[in-house]
Amino acid sequence: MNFDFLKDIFLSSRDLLAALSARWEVVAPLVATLFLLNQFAKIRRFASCLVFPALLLLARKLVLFIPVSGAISTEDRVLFWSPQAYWFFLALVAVHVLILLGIRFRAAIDWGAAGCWVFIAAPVGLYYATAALLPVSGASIIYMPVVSLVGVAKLLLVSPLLLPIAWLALFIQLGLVIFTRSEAGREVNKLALVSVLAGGLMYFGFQALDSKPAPLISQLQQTARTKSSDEEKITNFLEVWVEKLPQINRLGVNVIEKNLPAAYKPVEVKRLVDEVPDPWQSLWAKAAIPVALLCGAALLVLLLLVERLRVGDECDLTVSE
Amino acid sequence: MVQATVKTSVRELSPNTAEPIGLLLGEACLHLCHNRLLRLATQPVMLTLELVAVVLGVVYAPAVTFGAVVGMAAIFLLLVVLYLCWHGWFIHRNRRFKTLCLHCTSRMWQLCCARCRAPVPALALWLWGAFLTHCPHCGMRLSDRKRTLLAWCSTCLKSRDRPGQFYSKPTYVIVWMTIALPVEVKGGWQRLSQKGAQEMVLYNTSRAQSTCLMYISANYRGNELPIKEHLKGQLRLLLISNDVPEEHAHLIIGHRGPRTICERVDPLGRSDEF
Repeated sequence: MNFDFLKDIFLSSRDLLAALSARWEVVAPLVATLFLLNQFAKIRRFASCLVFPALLLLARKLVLFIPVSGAISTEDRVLFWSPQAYWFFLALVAVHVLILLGIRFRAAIDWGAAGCWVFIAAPVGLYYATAALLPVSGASIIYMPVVSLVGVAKLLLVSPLLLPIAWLALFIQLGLVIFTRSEAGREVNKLALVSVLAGGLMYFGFQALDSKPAPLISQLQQTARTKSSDEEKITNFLEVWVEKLPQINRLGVNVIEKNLPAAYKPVEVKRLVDEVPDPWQSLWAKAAIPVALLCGAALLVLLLLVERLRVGDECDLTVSE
Repeated sequence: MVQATVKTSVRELSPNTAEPIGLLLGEACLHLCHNRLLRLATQPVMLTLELVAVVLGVVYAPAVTFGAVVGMAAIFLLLVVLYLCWHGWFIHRNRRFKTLCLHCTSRMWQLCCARCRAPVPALALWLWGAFLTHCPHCGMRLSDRKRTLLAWCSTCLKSRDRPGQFYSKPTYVIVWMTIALPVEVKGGWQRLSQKGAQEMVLYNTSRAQSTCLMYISANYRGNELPIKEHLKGQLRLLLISNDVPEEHAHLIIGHRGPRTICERVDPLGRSDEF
């Protein structure tokens, strides 16, 4: 029996959902409608959990406009053409994680005077790293640290996993509301958020291991390496960004690069970014799918079998009150 | 010789009318980790071994290791999501049915082990206990059918067998105002308590559609229902014998809940059995 039709249905559905998510006319009214439904007390119980996945779809559209210095970004990918900028953002993410851990375990850590020094050293270090690593100069160095902090949120959100997770969460929430009236919606949203952040971190982190960047990135990296003077860096980053906003909206690619190679028009850049192979997909394609299915099934069977083993002391009890 | 008599004051427990709440994500993961295999896998020594295995696997066979880790993580997350969904449905059903402890009339939704009487997660009911067959505390094999898994009231610490059936039925409260209590009860009804000749409490769990708690009271002159305030919302049926004077019956009917069905019934004879 030929099951190709199932694959066709899956691919068509995937393309349809991707096309719907790409349109402002679908995403924005969806979020607005759900917010409106939340105002009614009787419906709020059901509509409240649907808001988060819809917000994820909207966030995917909005974060495209957040500028990340030294990178090209689309709705699904953020690719660094500047190695120094990549290490800058990697250090920034690491510092964020350390700060969160420090807050989480603050009771166990006796900061003492060191805490004050951290507060002083952190912004100084941030400005120094901005000037040294990011492809910006001049007045841009003053505000780029703040812009970079916003960029970290974009790096953690944007990945090819954001779209499927958002739609999956939306369908699960719909199922919970319609069929089971279950109250697990909030926890499903938590799981979706954790998955999105893990996906973003995974894709961002993998670029450190990617030793063979795509031709476009290589070209831009080559251009970056030949930049030996500050004249090649952008001195008015935000002005250039504001100027490019309509183009970003129209073409779906966000790149702020002073000397973009002439051969690469924005449309061309978008096409080349979309063609950059997904490193996780190539790893996944190397026989990982059957292994994943096999290991998943094996774990499920083992969970059931080991639990059924008669190991401890067992007896029949008669319940008497 | 002086004998010391110890007087124990029996304090009546206030019924717990709080509704059950849903599980948090962390709690769902914790419940699943009560499973034997997962409990073993999350021991510190095993976690260290697993980490070493993953690192070695990434070095020598990255694709296979990646597939294995992703596959197992995906199954665990899938189980967490499904368990969360099921627990939410369980809680929703419990709220709809308003299951009560038959002894103290508190809201009831928990489980316990028949041997150690420690609380057991609701995971023991999910899929007929496929993922949690043993008590996490004493290792006792839990079974609804063998009565080793019990429905448990955390207020009065009483328990009932067959929690699967007990929690799948609504609990209805029936009040019967009469001038004399019945002498004997049968037909599936069990006597729970009796206050002299004035009041009797019965329960019936043998019906497939519901669990019934019946209060039979001969104190019609009090013009009050013989039930606590929190039960009035669950009062399904109010029966008043025809020999109860009309003026008293009228006042008693005034206390009924919005969904209470009220009926006048034939009186019980002196030797009547119920």
